[in-house]
Amino acid sequence: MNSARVKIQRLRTGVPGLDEVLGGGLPEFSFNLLAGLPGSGKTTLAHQMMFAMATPERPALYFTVIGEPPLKMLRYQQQFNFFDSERVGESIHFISLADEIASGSLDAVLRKMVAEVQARSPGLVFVDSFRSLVLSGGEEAAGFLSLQQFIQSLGTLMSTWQATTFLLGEYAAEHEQNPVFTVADGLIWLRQSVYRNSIVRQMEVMKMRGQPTQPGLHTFRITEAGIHVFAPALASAHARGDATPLRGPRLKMGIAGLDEMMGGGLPHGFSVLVAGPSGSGKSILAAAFLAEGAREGQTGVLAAFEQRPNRSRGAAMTALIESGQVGVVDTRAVALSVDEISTLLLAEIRRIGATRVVIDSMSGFELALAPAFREDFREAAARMVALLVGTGVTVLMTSELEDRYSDLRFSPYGTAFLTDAIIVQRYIEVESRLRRVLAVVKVRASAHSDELRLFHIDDDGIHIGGMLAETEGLLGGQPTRRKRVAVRPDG
Amino acid sequence: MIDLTARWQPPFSQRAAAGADSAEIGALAVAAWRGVDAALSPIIGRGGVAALYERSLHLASVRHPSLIGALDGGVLTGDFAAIGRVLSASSGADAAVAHGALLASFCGLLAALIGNPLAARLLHPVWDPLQSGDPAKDHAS
Repeated sequence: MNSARVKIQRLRTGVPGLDEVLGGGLPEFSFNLLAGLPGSGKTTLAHQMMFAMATPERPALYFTVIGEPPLKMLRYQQQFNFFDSERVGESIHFISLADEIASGSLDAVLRKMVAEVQARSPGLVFVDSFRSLVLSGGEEAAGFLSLQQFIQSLGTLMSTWQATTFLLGEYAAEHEQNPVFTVADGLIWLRQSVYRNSIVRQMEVMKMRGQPTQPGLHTFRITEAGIHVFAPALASAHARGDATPLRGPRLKMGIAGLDEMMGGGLPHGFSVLVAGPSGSGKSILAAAFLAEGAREGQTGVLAAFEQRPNRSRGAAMTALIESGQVGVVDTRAVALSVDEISTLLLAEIRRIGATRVVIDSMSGFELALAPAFREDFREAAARMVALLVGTGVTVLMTSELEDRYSDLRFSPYGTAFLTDAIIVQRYIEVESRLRRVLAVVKVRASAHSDELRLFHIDDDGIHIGGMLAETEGLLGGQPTRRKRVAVRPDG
Repeated sequence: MIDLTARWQPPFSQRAAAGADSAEIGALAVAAWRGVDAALSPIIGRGGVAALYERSLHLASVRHPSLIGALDGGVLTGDFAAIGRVLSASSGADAAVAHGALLASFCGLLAALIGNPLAARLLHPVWDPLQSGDPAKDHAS
């Protein structure tokens, strides 16, 4: 009977993104291994979870072994915002096992742990580091508990004492034969991947009994706030509740004449790519899109990858940002991943209830990624765009497009397939002047203009002009006057 | 900011001012250090306490050379008798001053390593018995 099934409570770990990767939190009373090489973030992860989960009713015991001297651990962990000295000795208790370890007996270690667990009835138990403990005990130590017995005893003890347990260990390889891998209910592996000259921190939940974890390597970052895991956002978790197509008036682009060219504006929930060469006015068009939203009372989010941090974004955009009508995603961190930017975008969209999103530009975005992630950029970007529009926002992306006059290109790397609409800007030479033209190449499931229109940029932004009706070969970069064909009346 | 030494020193200086002899100051010091050991060794291990204590003795012995005589390694087993013997060998007032220097070194070292708030929090269980002034109280585990 389903109603007779035991219900496993899941604890919120307090680590942003980790509960999603774990499949809904950490099972209570589970026996877990946090594995990884020194410096991979195990102790920080353990402390962050402990300070989040421990309460006076569910106190935590943190057993330290000889891996990292407790004084140094306390000294360095205090640098994180989550560390609260006031809770040490109340809901959080640090216990050194150094003296028992010195005896070389796993019996003595287990006796000490049992005594502390019985005395304090913890809801959470951490052993840092378990690897040090095992090495000091010795697997073949005569007269003592064997390692296998020790792990079995510890696992059984902690489960029956209703303590959620974490063993921290410096393990290099997951294929290592180790009984603790078998006994553990959960196995979280922390890695630092080195690719060329960049290092990316990644986490993998290799095992978590009884719940659907998100497979794969998930990037994470350690800041003064602690660990933030950037799980691949699940479209289902962020999608609008209804599955009906978005309706309502189309969004205005904020540039006179462009809405008409697009068949009446940009449909809600669409993604549009603005492609063009350097200096053609892509960022100005993107800013106009956000400013138009603000005029209509809609908030927007900007992820800018090409502006230098201290460089002005223009008075109008600065005002929108300062007034809170446009939220900005910080893209200055090194070695970014697409998942990290997706997470930050979704958080900012939720925070200000945004309906318009600008990513300026996709080319800069790709350059800001850790080299290891660039190969998968197209796939990851496609997932991100699908995720964003799935939340109901309308997305405008810009893309650098090298002007080539020998072929007709609308975006680099075939990213055009990502989007529902495409606007292309080009330079052309007319009478020894560099002129700009734009065209609406695509608006999915909608009629749109097929005109190549001149435009110019001044202090007020983009102004769309007319067609060069008497010329042809514009996309070749050097248009020529169309030859008039004299038509002689017959007869 | 909590001045750790200020919380510890009064029982010693008050006893000395009241005419306590050095043996009494020594006994109070031994009880205090057993309390420190009981409070800290479960967290940082006996080895951690011994390292801090011995470093403090070295620092304080610059101005109070007699303190170096308390370095006998007994701390690793929770034995603080040596500091009692060293303090007992001087006058009550001198013992209180020398021990004050040792306390200041220890508290300063611990606070420098783990911060004043956490150091104060960990040492809190030691203060109350000291304020009661009963050196017979034994905090050894």
